[in-house]
Amino acid sequence: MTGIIGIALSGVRAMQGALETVADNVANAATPGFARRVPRLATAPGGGSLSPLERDLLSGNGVLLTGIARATDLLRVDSLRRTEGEVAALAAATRWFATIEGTLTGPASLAGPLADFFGAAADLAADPSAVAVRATFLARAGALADRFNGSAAALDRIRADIDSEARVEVQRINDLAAAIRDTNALLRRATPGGSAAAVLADERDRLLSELASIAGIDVRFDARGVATVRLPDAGGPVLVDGLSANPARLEPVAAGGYRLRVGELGDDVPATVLGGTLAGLSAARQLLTATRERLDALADRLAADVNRLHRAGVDLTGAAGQDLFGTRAVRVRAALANGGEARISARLADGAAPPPLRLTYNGATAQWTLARADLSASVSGTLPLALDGVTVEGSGTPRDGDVFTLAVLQGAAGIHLRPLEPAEVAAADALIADAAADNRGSGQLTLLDAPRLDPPAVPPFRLLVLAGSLLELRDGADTLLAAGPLGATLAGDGFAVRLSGRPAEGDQFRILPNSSGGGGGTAVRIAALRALGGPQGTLEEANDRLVTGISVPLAAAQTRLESARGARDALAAALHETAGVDLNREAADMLRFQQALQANARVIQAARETFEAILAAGR
Amino acid sequence: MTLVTRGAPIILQAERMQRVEARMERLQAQIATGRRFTAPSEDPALANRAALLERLETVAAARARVIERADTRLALAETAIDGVSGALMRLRELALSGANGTLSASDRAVVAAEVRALGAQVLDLANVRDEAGRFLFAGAADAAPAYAPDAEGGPVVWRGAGAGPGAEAAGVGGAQVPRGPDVFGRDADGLFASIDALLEALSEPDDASRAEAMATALSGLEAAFDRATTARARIGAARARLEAEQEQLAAARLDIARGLAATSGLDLTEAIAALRALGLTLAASQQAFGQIFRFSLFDRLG
Repeated sequence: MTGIIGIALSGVRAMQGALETVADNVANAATPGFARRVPRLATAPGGGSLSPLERDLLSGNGVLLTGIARATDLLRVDSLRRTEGEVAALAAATRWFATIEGTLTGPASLAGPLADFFGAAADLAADPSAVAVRATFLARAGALADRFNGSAAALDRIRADIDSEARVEVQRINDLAAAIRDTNALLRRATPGGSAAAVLADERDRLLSELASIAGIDVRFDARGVATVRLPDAGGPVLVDGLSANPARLEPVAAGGYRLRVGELGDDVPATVLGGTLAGLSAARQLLTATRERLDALADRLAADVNRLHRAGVDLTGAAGQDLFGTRAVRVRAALANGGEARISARLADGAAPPPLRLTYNGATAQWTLARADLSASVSGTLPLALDGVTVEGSGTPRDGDVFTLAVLQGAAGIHLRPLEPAEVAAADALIADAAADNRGSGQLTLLDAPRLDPPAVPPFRLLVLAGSLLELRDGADTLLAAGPLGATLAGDGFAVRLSGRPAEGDQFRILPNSSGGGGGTAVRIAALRALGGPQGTLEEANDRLVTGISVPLAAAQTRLESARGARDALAAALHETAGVDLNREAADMLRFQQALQANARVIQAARETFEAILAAGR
Repeated sequence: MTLVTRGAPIILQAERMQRVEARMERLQAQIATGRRFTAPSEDPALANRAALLERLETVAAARARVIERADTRLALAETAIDGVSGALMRLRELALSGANGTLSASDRAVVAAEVRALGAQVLDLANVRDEAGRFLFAGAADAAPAYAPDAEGGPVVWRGAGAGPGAEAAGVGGAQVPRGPDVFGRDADGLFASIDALLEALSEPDDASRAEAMATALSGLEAAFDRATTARARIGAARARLEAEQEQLAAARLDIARGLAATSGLDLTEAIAALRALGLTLAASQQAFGQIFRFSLFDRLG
């Protein structure tokens, strides 16, 4: 009879435990990372008997709550971790790609200023003498250079932001690694199958999934659920090994991305980044580096092409053209620790390419020192100071020990419009060629580039057509410079001529310096740059490629993000089926366990009544 | 994609609905701007094509401005040459009347005075300037007057050089204002030399020599008239060419605009319909979400 009570009691205990798991599940229905608890019930080997003497050999053994299992699927959890990593990588890449795209499209697009610049060049060609048109041309050139500077500065800012986000993420990797190590230690001590172990396993899985969303990881568990984590796969270095965690550091690589170095300093091993936010940041940094290189190349090409043509022309005073664009600029940065209020500005001489410089103030002697950063040369005194083509000026009061660093900007960051007056725009050709009014033939003269003569010839030059279509090029002192047949290239002083068509004997052509700066030949050539192809097509096509180089990877990343999210959702839903808490199921379980509990209690009561009846019968 | 199911975790379902909202926001931005994409990444190929078309449009606009500018200069030159032709007709009349032997010396002096005045007028017309103040007939050396007495204060000669700006920047050749010698002839026997010859002939006392000199001057003036007419015709031809280019450009720009509308323009009807549909989907899934997660079995337990 006591056997019945023992068995029923085991049932009551087991059902109580089972009901507790239901309560736990319902309480944690909204807890992230919580895996549904399942009571593990088994037939009790020893029934519920208190003593072998009282044991009824014919009765059953009752029930035992052997442990609490987590209703999770390790394989699915691992797949979900990987997809979460992929989603995080693509989300980070998409976010930064879109930011990079924003620096070169929409209001920041180079297309508008480029079109405006070439439009202004065409206007200049049509109206080379109008001061307003020249001023507009300069303004457009300045706006174009500014747009380059703006995009370059925005890209630099984005690079700094990506770097700082990556540093924060690596810090989180180290924090998570430490937390996983601690959880490992607790797991090793916890009773397997106990509720404490289940809680620790939940925590471990949550930490791992957070870690996987930062960087791709490979995880192995031992029998007690202690995790070993490697970056990024089974062949990579160990981040967490049981009870020890190795520190990870961020290292930029040449192509622009990142990799990690895992281990103590001096004993560290490189690990590639294959997933998670960090992989997205690495991809974004690579794209940014490539974009910046292309932008710089575009700026350099524009400056070189326009300057070459502009230098070959003459301005409104007949003087030879200067460079239109400068390609280098100096950036002055005040050190954060500066105590004074001095404002420093720096100018760069044309063609100067100085190394990085440092400007320091000595309060005791009230002198500034401008020195190369490697200290190979320096000048001291009061401002302005000049070194390596950089002139530094300042205002305001400095304090002893103030430091300013001067860096040279190039490419898209360094391009700028040189301070030219509208009259200094070299819109005209340096030489004017025309046919004499009484020429009878219809010869066409073409001017070409050629080296200067030493000693120089005397302008103006004349091209004479002799008998048998022989040509003579003579200078102003009637010195014969070159002779040849029709169609040949005759070299003069800084130019060459080629006559085509049908000239008649006795025809003459003049070639004279453009002292009045009239005509718009150079402007025509600058406007024609628009259609001039290069290795990347025209300048504007190169800009299109620059934009496409961002928009295509961005569009691809967006598409991949969508599908990765879909895959992640499907996996998460599948995992939720097993590991998630479904309140309806919990309610059903609760009813089931409650009824079983009541039934067991009822059995005890029946046993007691039976026992009492037997006792009463014996009285 | 099913938006709402009982199986998926609630957070994911909320995220899905957020994505629908994001799509609606994008559609709203498209409707607000009238463009099919706001960032090139939304459709890189189409955006590239749109950029190409927009560039073609700016090229066409720049060409149109260049052509218009060249046409204005040609129109100014045309007006000046019309003035020269008028003066030349009067000069021819004066030369014919001066050749009449019945005129007295004082009558000839009156004629000579008018010829001098007409000469000054023609010189002014030859030194006509554009709006920028540059001399139209001086070619590329247009900062100084096209015609001026030579260094010794002698006869008027052409001081220009080369050719002036035309419409080369628009890819159209031959739209320059003709050079001085093409309109007024050579310095030795052109228009100004003929006027000088006429004045000299008018002051010739000997009848026979005068008649001969008048005949020479008259033939010079006839030649000058022919040359001016030819120059006028050439300008007319150049302007006709420019006009044809302008028309062609206008047609091309219309095509570009159509292309742009087809590439980056938004089909409003479609966009609004899509927005409505998405709105309905979102509202429905929100309601379904509410319904599905509203009750659980716990509510039914007594």
